Amino acid sequence: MIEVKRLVKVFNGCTVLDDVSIKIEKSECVFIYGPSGAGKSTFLRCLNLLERPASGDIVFAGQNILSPDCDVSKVRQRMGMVCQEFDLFTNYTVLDNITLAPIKLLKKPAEEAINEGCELLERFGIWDKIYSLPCRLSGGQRQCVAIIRALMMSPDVILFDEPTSALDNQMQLGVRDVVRDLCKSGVTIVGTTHNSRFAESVATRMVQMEGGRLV
Amino acid sequence: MSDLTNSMYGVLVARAGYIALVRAFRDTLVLTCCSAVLGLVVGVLLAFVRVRYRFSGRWRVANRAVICFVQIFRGTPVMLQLLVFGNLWRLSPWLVAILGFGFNSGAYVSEILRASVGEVDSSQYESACVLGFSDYQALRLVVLPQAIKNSVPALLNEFCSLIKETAVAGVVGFQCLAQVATVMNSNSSRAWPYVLVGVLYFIVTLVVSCGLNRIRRAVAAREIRRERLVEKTGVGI
Ligand SMILES: Nc1ncnc2c1ncn2[C@@H]1O[C@H](COP(=O)(O)OP(=O)(O)O)[C@@H](O)[C@H]1O
Ligand SMILES: [Mg+2]
Repeated sequence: MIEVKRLVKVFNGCTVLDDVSIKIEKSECVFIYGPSGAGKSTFLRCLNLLERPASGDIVFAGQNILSPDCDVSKVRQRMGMVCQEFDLFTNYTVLDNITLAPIKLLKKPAEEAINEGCELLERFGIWDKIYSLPCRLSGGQRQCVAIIRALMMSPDVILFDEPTSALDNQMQLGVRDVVRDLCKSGVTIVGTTHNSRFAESVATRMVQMEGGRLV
Repeated sequence: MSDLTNSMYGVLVARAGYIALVRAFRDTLVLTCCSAVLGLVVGVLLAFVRVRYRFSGRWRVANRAVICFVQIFRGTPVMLQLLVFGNLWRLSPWLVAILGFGFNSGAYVSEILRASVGEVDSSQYESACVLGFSDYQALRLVVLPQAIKNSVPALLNEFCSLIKETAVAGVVGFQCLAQVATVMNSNSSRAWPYVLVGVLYFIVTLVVSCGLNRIRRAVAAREIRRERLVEKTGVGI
């Protein structure tokens, strides 16, 4: 599904990713763990093309996404990402946050998108927040909404950057079940974490990153 | 005192000055609204070019052109801009005034919007891109709405300035309030027409700022009420 070859990323002369190669098959659930500053977030951001690597190749679904004629937006629609900062759109309600992309990008009928969104909100136990603005949610609720927002695009791959950093135990169990179901339904997952207990409970493969290298 | 009332009566009623005054009042308001709408459209377009360049590095040349445009319109008196517009093309005073004030206001509006886009966290743009929105959509759907909301007080300010600035529209033959006051002054040789017109300008700006403030508060209150209702009843849709 994703093949990363000899990826190098440099920030101001500092090599953050150093010759990273990994092959991830369809419906695998790979979690990358390692100390803070190891380059985990940077690696995910490169997969999603939020950062341009200095060298190396990323092949996604048979397409080299680093080539200049690749449609970045299309790639991102198929490869969702939940960022570490999970920035919800502050000017939209929870419902609008999660239905904006499917309605505008996938051209889903609004009713269908709203129904799907409500189902997911219910599943995460935050259905009553449907019309709240993000500023009135707790950190954990915000993270859940960010996850739902990514799920709503039904991507082939989801990148999770520290998906449980703000969640309490109950919510972690919810996210764990969702991630497991996603894997079962054929979605490929790449995540980062420093909470190895969560990662172990969902991952089909764990890889360690240290100092910008996979070990 | 009776001297003043006599003078006012003579000019306003006996010589039917009130008709010109009412008409000028209406025309000034219509001109202000038309120019404000044009200014908003122009301002949003100009700001869009600058912001898009800032976020994605595209439209370099257009960005330069916009900077020049804004500098020119902000750096010269609006009265001269009107005169240039009026002499460049033989248009009606209405069109000249709307174009002149509209473009002038557009330059200011674009700067206001650009500043409030700067206040929007750039991670908002990024998370829209992550979902698969193009840079254009991310700006239009996520960044600009927030920026416009932030900029409402400054835009309101700009609208009030615009009302008062229209007082110079007389130079291109537009019958605005100030122009009528000048005519009345030459008929009466007194200060009261200017004071009277000044009071009219003052009332309009006061009404506008109070009215829009009230709308803003009502919108905020409605949002909170709706949210409370949902929280209490658990009924969303
Ligand atoms: N935009 C950036 N500019 C400069 N340095 C960065 C930037 N983003 C990350 N880094 C650096 O890259 C290294 C790895 O960061 P990150 O990928 O966030 O680590 P992790 O997610 O594993 O904690 C850190 O040393 C960090 O300082
Ligand atoms: Mg990180």
